[in-house]
Amino acid sequence: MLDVFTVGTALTVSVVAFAVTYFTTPPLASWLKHRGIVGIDVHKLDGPKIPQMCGLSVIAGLAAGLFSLELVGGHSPDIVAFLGTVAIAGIIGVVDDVRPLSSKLKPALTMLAAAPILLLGTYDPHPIFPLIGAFRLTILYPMLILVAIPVTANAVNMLDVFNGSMSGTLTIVSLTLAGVLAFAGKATAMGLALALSGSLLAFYLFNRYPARVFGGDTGSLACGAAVGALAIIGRVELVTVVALVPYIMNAFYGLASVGRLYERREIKPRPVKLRNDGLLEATAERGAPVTLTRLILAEGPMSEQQIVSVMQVLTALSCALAIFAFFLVEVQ
Amino acid sequence: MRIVALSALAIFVSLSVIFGVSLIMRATILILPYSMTEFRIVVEVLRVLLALALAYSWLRGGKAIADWYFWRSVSLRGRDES
Repeated sequence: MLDVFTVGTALTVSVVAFAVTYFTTPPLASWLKHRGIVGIDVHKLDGPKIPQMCGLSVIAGLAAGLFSLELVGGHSPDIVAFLGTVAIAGIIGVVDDVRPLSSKLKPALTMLAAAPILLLGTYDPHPIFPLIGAFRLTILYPMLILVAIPVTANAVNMLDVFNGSMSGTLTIVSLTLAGVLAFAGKATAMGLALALSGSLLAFYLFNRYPARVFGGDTGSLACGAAVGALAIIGRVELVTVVALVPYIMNAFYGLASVGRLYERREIKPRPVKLRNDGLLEATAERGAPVTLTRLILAEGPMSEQQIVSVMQVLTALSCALAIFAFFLVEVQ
Repeated sequence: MRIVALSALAIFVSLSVIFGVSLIMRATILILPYSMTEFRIVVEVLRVLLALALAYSWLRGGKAIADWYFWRSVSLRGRDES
Protein backbone atom coordinates (compact mmCIF):
# COMPACT_ATOMS: atom_id res chain seq x y z
CA MET A 1 0.00 0.00 0.00
CA LEU A 2 1.07 3.60 -0.61
CA ASP A 3 1.42 6.45 1.88
CA VAL A 4 -1.01 9.37 2.09
CA PHE A 5 1.37 11.83 0.36
CA THR A 6 1.79 9.58 -2.69
CA VAL A 7 -1.94 8.98 -2.99
CA GLY A 8 -2.55 12.75 -2.59
CA THR A 9 -0.03 13.47 -5.37
CA ALA A 10 -1.70 10.96 -7.70
CA LEU A 11 -5.14 12.41 -6.98
CA THR A 12 -3.80 15.92 -7.74
CA VAL A 13 -2.54 14.59 -11.07
CA SER A 14 -6.03 13.25 -11.78
CA VAL A 15 -7.61 16.63 -10.95
CA VAL A 16 -5.15 18.45 -13.26
CA ALA A 17 -5.91 16.00 -16.10
CA PHE A 18 -9.65 16.38 -15.50
CA ALA A 19 -9.49 20.19 -15.46
CA VAL A 20 -7.39 20.49 -18.64
CA THR A 21 -9.65 18.11 -20.59
CA TYR A 22 -12.80 19.74 -19.22
CA PHE A 23 -11.75 23.27 -20.18
CA THR A 24 -10.11 22.47 -23.54
CA THR A 25 -12.92 20.32 -24.96
CA PRO A 26 -15.54 23.09 -25.65
CA PRO A 27 -13.15 25.48 -27.49
CA LEU A 28 -11.61 22.57 -29.42
CA ALA A 29 -15.09 21.33 -30.41
CA SER A 30 -16.08 24.83 -31.64
CA TRP A 31 -12.86 25.12 -33.65
CA LEU A 32 -13.30 21.67 -35.23
CA LYS A 33 -16.95 22.38 -36.07
CA HIS A 34 -15.95 25.71 -37.63
CA ARG A 35 -13.39 23.84 -39.76
CA GLY A 36 -15.99 21.27 -40.82
CA ILE A 37 -14.25 18.38 -39.04
CA VAL A 38 -17.47 16.67 -38.02
CA GLY A 39 -18.99 13.21 -38.02
CA ILE A 40 -22.65 12.25 -38.40
CA ASP A 41 -24.23 10.63 -35.35
CA VAL A 42 -25.77 7.73 -37.27
CA HIS A 43 -27.69 6.38 -34.30
CA LYS A 44 -29.99 9.41 -34.12
CA LEU A 45 -33.01 9.90 -36.40
CA ASP A 46 -32.01 13.47 -37.33
CA GLY A 47 -28.32 12.50 -37.86
CA PRO A 48 -26.73 15.53 -36.17
CA LYS A 49 -23.22 16.62 -37.12
CA ILE A 50 -20.87 16.33 -34.13
CA PRO A 51 -17.30 17.70 -33.97
CA GLN A 52 -14.87 14.82 -34.39
CA MET A 53 -11.25 14.36 -33.23
CA CYS A 54 -12.03 15.87 -29.80
CA GLY A 55 -9.92 13.04 -28.35
CA LEU A 56 -7.13 15.60 -28.69
CA SER A 57 -8.42 17.18 -25.47
CA VAL A 58 -8.04 13.82 -23.68
CA ILE A 59 -4.41 13.67 -24.84
CA ALA A 60 -3.91 17.31 -23.71
CA GLY A 61 -5.37 16.53 -20.28
CA LEU A 62 -3.29 13.40 -19.98
CA ALA A 63 -0.13 15.29 -20.95
CA ALA A 64 -0.86 18.03 -18.39
CA GLY A 65 -1.49 15.41 -15.70
CA LEU A 66 1.73 13.61 -16.53
CA PHE A 67 3.77 16.84 -16.49
CA SER A 68 2.40 17.58 -13.02
CA LEU A 69 3.28 14.01 -11.97
CA GLU A 70 6.83 14.57 -13.25
CA LEU A 71 7.04 17.90 -11.37
CA VAL A 72 5.67 16.65 -8.05
CA GLY A 73 6.66 13.00 -8.08
CA GLY A 74 10.06 13.35 -9.78
CA HIS A 75 11.37 12.15 -13.14
CA SER A 76 10.55 8.62 -14.24
CA PRO A 77 11.14 6.91 -17.59
CA ASP A 78 7.73 5.28 -17.09
CA ILE A 79 6.04 8.68 -17.54
CA VAL A 80 8.02 9.45 -20.70
CA ALA A 81 7.32 6.01 -22.20
CA PHE A 82 3.61 6.25 -21.37
CA LEU A 83 3.23 9.73 -22.83
CA GLY A 84 5.25 8.74 -25.91
CA THR A 85 3.00 5.73 -26.54
CA VAL A 86 -0.16 7.83 -26.17
CA ALA A 87 1.22 10.61 -28.40
CA ILE A 88 2.23 8.23 -31.23
CA ALA A 89 -1.13 6.41 -31.11
CA GLY A 90 -2.87 9.81 -31.08
CA ILE A 91 -0.94 10.96 -34.17
CA ILE A 92 -1.94 7.76 -36.00
CA GLY A 93 -5.53 8.46 -34.91
CA VAL A 94 -5.36 12.01 -36.33
CA VAL A 95 -4.08 10.62 -39.65
CA ASP A 96 -6.91 8.04 -39.65
CA ASP A 97 -9.53 10.70 -38.86
CA VAL A 98 -8.29 13.00 -41.63
CA ARG A 99 -7.57 10.32 -44.23
CA PRO A 100 -8.98 6.88 -43.27
CA LEU A 101 -6.32 4.16 -43.18
CA SER A 102 -6.88 0.63 -44.46
CA SER A 103 -7.88 -2.15 -42.05
CA LYS A 104 -4.37 -3.66 -42.29
CA LEU A 105 -2.31 -0.46 -42.23
CA LYS A 106 -3.89 0.93 -39.06
CA PRO A 107 -2.91 -1.96 -36.73
CA ALA A 108 0.51 -2.11 -38.41
CA LEU A 109 1.10 1.59 -37.75
CA THR A 110 -0.07 1.36 -34.13
CA MET A 111 2.87 -1.00 -33.54
CA LEU A 112 5.00 2.15 -33.66
CA ALA A 113 3.30 3.28 -30.45
CA ALA A 114 5.11 0.47 -28.62
CA ALA A 115 8.50 2.01 -29.50
CA PRO A 116 8.84 4.32 -26.43
CA ILE A 117 8.27 1.38 -24.04
CA LEU A 118 10.80 -0.78 -25.89
CA LEU A 119 13.41 1.98 -26.29
CA LEU A 120 13.21 3.10 -22.66
CA GLY A 121 13.00 -0.49 -21.41
CA THR A 122 10.06 0.24 -19.09
CA TYR A 123 8.91 -3.36 -18.95
CA ASP A 124 9.69 -6.53 -17.05
CA PRO A 125 9.78 -9.66 -19.25
CA HIS A 126 8.38 -11.83 -16.43
CA PRO A 127 4.57 -11.47 -16.57
CA ILE A 128 2.86 -12.82 -13.45
CA PHE A 129 -0.03 -15.30 -13.63
CA PRO A 130 -2.29 -16.59 -10.86
CA LEU A 131 -1.40 -20.01 -9.42
CA ILE A 132 1.91 -20.01 -11.35
CA GLY A 133 3.79 -16.80 -10.56
CA ALA A 134 6.27 -15.09 -12.88
CA PHE A 135 6.61 -16.62 -16.34
CA ARG A 136 9.99 -16.08 -18.00
CA LEU A 137 9.75 -14.57 -21.49
CA THR A 138 13.00 -12.62 -21.66
CA ILE A 139 13.46 -12.84 -25.42
CA LEU A 140 9.89 -12.83 -26.69
CA TYR A 141 8.29 -10.33 -24.32
CA PRO A 142 9.47 -7.25 -26.31
CA MET A 143 7.90 -8.76 -29.45
CA LEU A 144 4.66 -9.37 -27.55
CA ILE A 145 4.64 -5.66 -26.60
CA LEU A 146 4.64 -4.88 -30.33
CA VAL A 147 1.42 -6.92 -30.58
CA ALA A 148 -0.16 -5.87 -27.26
CA ILE A 149 -0.32 -2.12 -27.96
CA PRO A 150 -2.07 -2.46 -31.38
CA VAL A 151 -4.45 -5.06 -29.89
CA THR A 152 -5.60 -2.82 -27.01
CA ALA A 153 -5.65 0.33 -29.18
CA ASN A 154 -7.76 -1.28 -31.92
CA ALA A 155 -10.01 -3.22 -29.51
CA VAL A 156 -10.92 0.06 -27.78
CA ASN A 157 -11.37 1.71 -31.19
CA MET A 158 -13.84 -1.03 -32.20
CA LEU A 159 -16.10 -0.38 -29.18
CA ASP A 160 -16.20 3.40 -29.70
CA VAL A 161 -19.52 3.15 -31.54
CA PHE A 162 -22.06 4.88 -29.27
CA ASN A 163 -22.27 8.09 -27.28
CA GLY A 164 -20.08 7.56 -24.22
CA SER A 165 -19.42 3.86 -24.87
CA MET A 166 -15.63 4.19 -25.00
CA SER A 167 -15.13 7.06 -22.54
CA GLY A 168 -17.55 5.64 -19.94
CA THR A 169 -16.32 2.06 -19.93
CA LEU A 170 -12.64 2.99 -20.15
CA THR A 171 -13.06 5.34 -17.15
CA ILE A 172 -14.22 2.30 -15.15
CA VAL A 173 -11.25 0.24 -16.42
CA SER A 174 -8.65 2.95 -15.65
CA LEU A 175 -10.07 3.56 -12.15
CA THR A 176 -9.88 -0.20 -11.49
CA LEU A 177 -6.28 -0.29 -12.66
CA ALA A 178 -5.48 2.72 -10.45
CA GLY A 179 -6.92 0.91 -7.43
CA VAL A 180 -5.04 -2.30 -8.21
CA LEU A 181 -1.76 -0.43 -8.75
CA ALA A 182 -2.27 1.44 -5.45
CA PHE A 183 -2.62 -1.92 -3.66
CA ALA A 184 0.49 -3.18 -5.46
CA GLY A 185 2.41 -0.11 -4.21
CA LYS A 186 3.29 1.12 -7.70
CA ALA A 187 3.10 4.88 -7.24
CA THR A 188 4.07 6.10 -10.72
CA ALA A 189 1.87 3.61 -12.56
CA MET A 190 -1.04 4.53 -10.28
CA GLY A 191 -0.44 8.20 -11.15
CA LEU A 192 -0.57 7.30 -14.87
CA ALA A 193 -3.85 5.42 -14.37
CA LEU A 194 -5.40 8.28 -12.39
CA ALA A 195 -4.34 10.83 -14.99
CA LEU A 196 -6.05 8.69 -17.64
CA SER A 197 -9.22 8.30 -15.57
CA GLY A 198 -9.34 12.05 -14.84
CA SER A 199 -9.08 12.91 -18.54
CA LEU A 200 -11.60 10.26 -19.57
CA LEU A 201 -14.13 11.28 -16.93
CA ALA A 202 -14.00 14.92 -18.07
CA PHE A 203 -14.37 13.81 -21.69
CA TYR A 204 -17.29 11.50 -20.79
CA LEU A 205 -19.28 14.54 -19.57
CA PHE A 206 -19.27 15.85 -23.17
CA ASN A 207 -19.30 12.51 -24.98
CA ARG A 208 -22.20 10.84 -23.10
CA TYR A 209 -25.71 10.73 -24.60
CA PRO A 210 -26.59 13.01 -26.38
CA ALA A 211 -22.98 13.49 -27.46
CA ARG A 212 -21.71 17.02 -28.01
CA VAL A 213 -18.27 15.75 -29.08
CA PHE A 214 -16.76 12.64 -30.67
CA GLY A 215 -13.30 11.43 -29.71
CA GLY A 216 -12.67 10.00 -33.17
CA ASP A 217 -9.90 7.50 -33.80
CA THR A 218 -7.58 10.10 -32.27
CA GLY A 219 -9.18 9.53 -28.87
CA SER A 220 -9.90 5.82 -29.06
CA LEU A 221 -6.48 4.75 -30.38
CA ALA A 222 -4.66 6.99 -27.85
CA CYS A 223 -6.77 5.75 -24.91
CA GLY A 224 -6.51 2.10 -25.99
CA ALA A 225 -2.73 2.39 -26.33
CA ALA A 226 -2.65 4.10 -22.90
CA VAL A 227 -4.38 1.12 -21.28
CA GLY A 228 -2.00 -1.31 -23.02
CA ALA A 229 0.99 0.75 -21.86
CA LEU A 230 -0.38 0.80 -18.29
CA ALA A 231 -0.66 -3.00 -18.30
CA ILE A 232 2.98 -3.36 -19.34
CA ILE A 233 4.52 -0.57 -17.24
CA GLY A 234 2.48 -1.50 -14.15
CA ARG A 235 3.04 -5.27 -14.62
CA VAL A 236 -0.70 -5.95 -14.49
CA GLU A 237 -1.05 -7.69 -17.84
CA LEU A 238 -3.57 -10.37 -16.88
CA VAL A 239 -5.60 -8.00 -14.70
CA THR A 240 -5.91 -5.63 -17.67
CA VAL A 241 -6.94 -8.45 -20.02
CA VAL A 242 -9.74 -9.46 -17.62
CA ALA A 243 -10.87 -5.83 -17.18
CA LEU A 244 -11.00 -5.49 -20.97
CA VAL A 245 -13.09 -8.65 -21.53
CA PRO A 246 -16.07 -6.76 -23.09
CA TYR A 247 -13.62 -5.13 -25.54
CA ILE A 248 -11.95 -8.45 -26.30
CA MET A 249 -15.31 -10.19 -26.80
CA ASN A 250 -16.42 -7.42 -29.15
CA ALA A 251 -13.19 -7.36 -31.16
CA PHE A 252 -12.63 -11.12 -31.42
CA TYR A 253 -16.25 -12.04 -32.16
CA GLY A 254 -16.38 -9.32 -34.82
CA LEU A 255 -13.09 -10.40 -36.42
CA ALA A 256 -13.96 -14.11 -36.23
CA SER A 257 -17.37 -13.46 -37.86
CA VAL A 258 -15.86 -11.55 -40.77
CA GLY A 259 -12.76 -13.75 -40.95
CA ARG A 260 -10.27 -10.89 -41.40
CA LEU A 261 -9.30 -7.42 -40.20
CA TYR A 262 -12.01 -4.96 -41.23
CA GLU A 263 -13.15 -1.37 -40.96
CA ARG A 264 -16.79 -0.67 -40.07
CA ARG A 265 -17.31 1.22 -43.34
CA GLU A 266 -16.18 -1.86 -45.37
CA ILE A 267 -18.96 -4.12 -44.05
CA LYS A 268 -22.01 -3.98 -46.27
CA PRO A 269 -24.48 -6.14 -44.25
CA ARG A 270 -25.21 -3.89 -41.24
CA PRO A 271 -25.12 -5.55 -37.78
CA VAL A 272 -27.55 -3.01 -36.31
CA LYS A 273 -30.32 -0.82 -37.76
CA LEU A 274 -32.03 2.31 -36.50
CA ARG A 275 -35.83 1.95 -36.32
CA ASN A 276 -38.34 4.71 -36.96
CA ASP A 277 -39.06 4.96 -33.21
CA GLY A 278 -35.37 5.76 -32.56
CA LEU A 279 -34.56 2.36 -31.02
CA LEU A 280 -31.72 0.21 -32.28
CA GLU A 281 -32.30 -3.35 -33.43
CA ALA A 282 -29.96 -6.25 -34.31
CA THR A 283 -30.37 -7.29 -37.92
CA ALA A 284 -30.69 -10.96 -38.89
CA GLU A 285 -28.05 -10.54 -41.64
CA ARG A 286 -25.84 -13.64 -41.74
CA GLY A 287 -22.84 -11.77 -43.15
CA ALA A 288 -22.80 -9.07 -40.47
CA PRO A 289 -20.31 -9.43 -37.60
CA VAL A 290 -21.70 -10.72 -34.27
CA THR A 291 -20.39 -7.83 -32.18
CA LEU A 292 -21.06 -7.07 -28.51
CA THR A 293 -23.75 -4.57 -29.56
CA ARG A 294 -25.51 -7.24 -31.59
CA LEU A 295 -25.36 -9.65 -28.64
CA ILE A 296 -26.87 -6.97 -26.38
CA LEU A 297 -29.66 -6.41 -28.90
CA ALA A 298 -30.25 -10.10 -29.61
CA GLU A 299 -33.38 -10.33 -27.44
CA GLY A 300 -34.99 -7.13 -28.71
CA PRO A 301 -34.51 -3.45 -29.55
CA MET A 302 -33.07 -0.93 -27.10
CA SER A 303 -32.24 2.76 -26.96
CA GLU A 304 -28.64 3.90 -27.39
CA GLN A 305 -28.49 4.93 -23.71
CA GLN A 306 -29.65 1.47 -22.58
CA ILE A 307 -27.02 -0.25 -24.74
CA VAL A 308 -24.26 1.92 -23.24
CA SER A 309 -25.59 1.20 -19.73
CA VAL A 310 -25.39 -2.55 -20.41
CA MET A 311 -21.81 -2.09 -21.68
CA GLN A 312 -20.94 -0.22 -18.49
CA VAL A 313 -22.48 -2.96 -16.31
CA LEU A 314 -20.51 -5.64 -18.19
CA THR A 315 -17.30 -3.60 -17.83
CA ALA A 316 -17.92 -3.11 -14.09
CA LEU A 317 -18.42 -6.87 -13.77
CA SER A 318 -15.19 -7.60 -15.67
CA CYS A 319 -13.35 -5.07 -13.50
CA ALA A 320 -14.62 -6.80 -10.34
CA LEU A 321 -13.24 -10.08 -11.71
CA ALA A 322 -10.00 -8.27 -12.62
CA ILE A 323 -9.63 -7.28 -8.95
CA PHE A 324 -10.24 -10.94 -8.04
CA ALA A 325 -7.50 -11.94 -10.51
CA PHE A 326 -5.16 -9.38 -8.94
CA PHE A 327 -5.67 -10.83 -5.45
CA LEU A 328 -5.08 -14.34 -6.81
CA VAL A 329 -1.74 -13.09 -8.16
CA GLU A 330 -0.98 -11.35 -4.84
CA VAL A 331 -1.73 -14.56 -2.89
CA GLN A 332 0.70 -16.31 -5.19
CA MET B 1 -33.11 -11.28 -18.66
CA ARG B 2 -30.63 -10.25 -21.34
CA ILE B 3 -28.33 -8.58 -18.78
CA VAL B 4 -28.25 -11.90 -16.86
CA ALA B 5 -27.37 -13.84 -20.02
CA LEU B 6 -24.69 -11.35 -21.07
CA SER B 7 -23.29 -11.12 -17.52
CA ALA B 8 -23.08 -14.91 -17.42
CA LEU B 9 -21.19 -14.83 -20.73
CA ALA B 10 -18.81 -12.11 -19.45
CA ILE B 11 -18.24 -14.00 -16.16
CA PHE B 12 -17.59 -17.22 -18.09
CA VAL B 13 -15.09 -15.46 -20.37
CA SER B 14 -13.38 -13.62 -17.48
CA LEU B 15 -13.03 -16.70 -15.26
CA SER B 16 -11.83 -18.78 -18.17
CA VAL B 17 -9.23 -16.06 -18.88
CA ILE B 18 -8.04 -16.11 -15.26
CA PHE B 19 -7.88 -19.88 -14.83
CA GLY B 20 -7.46 -20.78 -18.50
CA VAL B 21 -4.32 -18.67 -18.83
CA SER B 22 -2.86 -20.34 -15.73
CA LEU B 23 -3.67 -23.77 -17.12
CA ILE B 24 -2.26 -22.87 -20.52
CA MET B 25 0.95 -21.55 -18.94
CA ARG B 26 1.25 -24.59 -16.68
CA ALA B 27 0.77 -26.88 -19.67
CA THR B 28 3.48 -25.07 -21.63
CA ILE B 29 5.86 -25.28 -18.65
CA LEU B 30 5.19 -29.02 -18.32
CA ILE B 31 5.68 -29.67 -22.02
CA LEU B 32 8.67 -27.33 -22.32
CA PRO B 33 10.37 -27.08 -18.90
CA TYR B 34 12.84 -24.39 -17.75
CA SER B 35 15.64 -26.99 -17.71
CA MET B 36 15.83 -26.79 -21.50
CA THR B 37 17.86 -23.57 -21.22
CA GLU B 38 20.30 -24.44 -24.00
CA PHE B 39 17.47 -23.92 -26.47
CA ARG B 40 15.99 -20.92 -24.66
CA ILE B 41 14.82 -19.00 -27.72
CA VAL B 42 13.31 -22.14 -29.27
CA VAL B 43 11.58 -22.99 -26.00
CA GLU B 44 10.19 -19.45 -25.65
CA VAL B 45 8.93 -19.39 -29.24
CA LEU B 46 7.31 -22.81 -28.83
CA ARG B 47 5.77 -21.79 -25.52
CA VAL B 48 4.24 -18.67 -27.00
CA LEU B 49 2.99 -20.54 -30.07
CA LEU B 50 1.48 -23.24 -27.89
CA ALA B 51 -0.12 -20.67 -25.59
CA LEU B 52 -1.50 -18.78 -28.61
CA ALA B 53 -2.92 -21.96 -30.13
CA LEU B 54 -4.64 -22.88 -26.87
CA ALA B 55 -5.89 -19.31 -26.35
CA TYR B 56 -7.25 -19.23 -29.91
CA SER B 57 -9.14 -22.50 -29.36
CA TRP B 58 -10.58 -21.05 -26.15
CA LEU B 59 -11.66 -17.86 -27.97
CA ARG B 60 -13.32 -19.95 -30.71
CA GLY B 61 -15.19 -21.82 -27.97
CA GLY B 62 -16.43 -18.53 -26.53
CA LYS B 63 -17.42 -17.37 -30.01
CA ALA B 64 -19.44 -20.57 -30.56
CA ILE B 65 -21.37 -19.90 -27.32
CA ALA B 66 -21.97 -16.25 -28.31
CA ASP B 67 -23.16 -17.30 -31.79
CA TRP B 68 -25.51 -19.90 -30.32
CA TYR B 69 -26.98 -17.31 -27.92
CA PHE B 70 -27.37 -14.67 -30.64
CA TRP B 71 -29.03 -16.81 -33.33
CA ARG B 72 -31.25 -18.59 -30.80
CA SER B 73 -32.46 -15.21 -29.44
CA VAL B 74 -33.01 -13.84 -32.95
CA SER B 75 -35.05 -16.89 -34.00
CA LEU B 76 -37.12 -16.78 -30.78
CA ARG B 77 -37.75 -13.07 -31.34
CA GLY B 78 -38.79 -13.72 -34.94
CA ARG B 79 -41.21 -16.45 -33.79
CA ASP B 80 -42.74 -14.12 -31.16
CA GLU B 81 -43.20 -11.33 -33.72
CA SER B 82 -44.90 -13.63 -36.27
